[in-house]
Amino acid sequence: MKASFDFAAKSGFGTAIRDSRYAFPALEMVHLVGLGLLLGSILLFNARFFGFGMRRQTLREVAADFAPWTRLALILMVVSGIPMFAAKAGELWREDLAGFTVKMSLIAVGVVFHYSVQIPLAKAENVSRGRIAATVSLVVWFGAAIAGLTLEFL
Amino acid sequence: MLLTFCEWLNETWVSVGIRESQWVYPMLHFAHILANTLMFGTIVFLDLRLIGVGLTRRRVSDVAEQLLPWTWAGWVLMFLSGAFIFTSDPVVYYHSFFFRIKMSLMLLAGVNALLFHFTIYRGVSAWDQGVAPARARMAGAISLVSWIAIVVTGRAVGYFDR
Repeated sequence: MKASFDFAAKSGFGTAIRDSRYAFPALEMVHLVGLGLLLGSILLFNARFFGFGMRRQTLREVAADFAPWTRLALILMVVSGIPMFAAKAGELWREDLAGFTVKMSLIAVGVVFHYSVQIPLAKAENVSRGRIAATVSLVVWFGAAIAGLTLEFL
Repeated sequence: MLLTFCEWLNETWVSVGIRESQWVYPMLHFAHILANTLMFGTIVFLDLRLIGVGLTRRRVSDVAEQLLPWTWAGWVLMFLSGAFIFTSDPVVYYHSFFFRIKMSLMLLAGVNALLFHFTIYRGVSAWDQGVAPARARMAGAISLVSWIAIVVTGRAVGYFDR
């Protein structure tokens, strides 16, 4: 794993971002807009299992309504996140490996869980299991967001 | 006058306390960004519906009525956390170029939302399904662009003006 962090940190890509005054802030702005869209769509999807938010629509309808926006948000997050990682890989390895590992693991769990467990539950209109899954999802995604903010602010 | 107020606020115990605390300051930023996901992350879907690119199978009134309570809850959290963040460094924010732009954009977004709700949205029953009229699409676009710009300028304050 150290090799991949080293590779990212020493890549021309990472160096170019570190040398620019505006590149990293610009990437972070895209990341924040993506975060709003991602957590907004995840939150509203999960809320529906508890009868909040878009409660006049069925679970299946809510899943279909938000799916393209969750996907777009994930793309924005990855596209802005990879260069940010490249720029900060060295620092992350030395100072924040634990926080970064927690964040990435939670995101991986969140994505897999969303598409393999939650979407099928929504399509089956399964409220009882859906509520358990929604609770798990909210904890995982907000955990990932808080881990991400920790990397930035602490 | 505004500057005098900011200078006074800067010396109050609340301001000094937040500025010098190790935990309160980052916590306020956490709260502000999470509240933003609640506010921005819900208003965006009404904007997208108005523009005609998202939730197009839903009635506009369905989206508005069901999402706006979330947007308001997010707004209250944003305002409270934002007010405390401002209090921690009022003179710096007063002089910040990006903060001034951000506040102007908030005003624009607010006026746009009020105009929308008290004029064209009154007659929503006539265009509840399908494509919204041009003025409603325009209101959605102004809202979407200004909220994205608010997020962007908000981050710029932290990077370039502090």
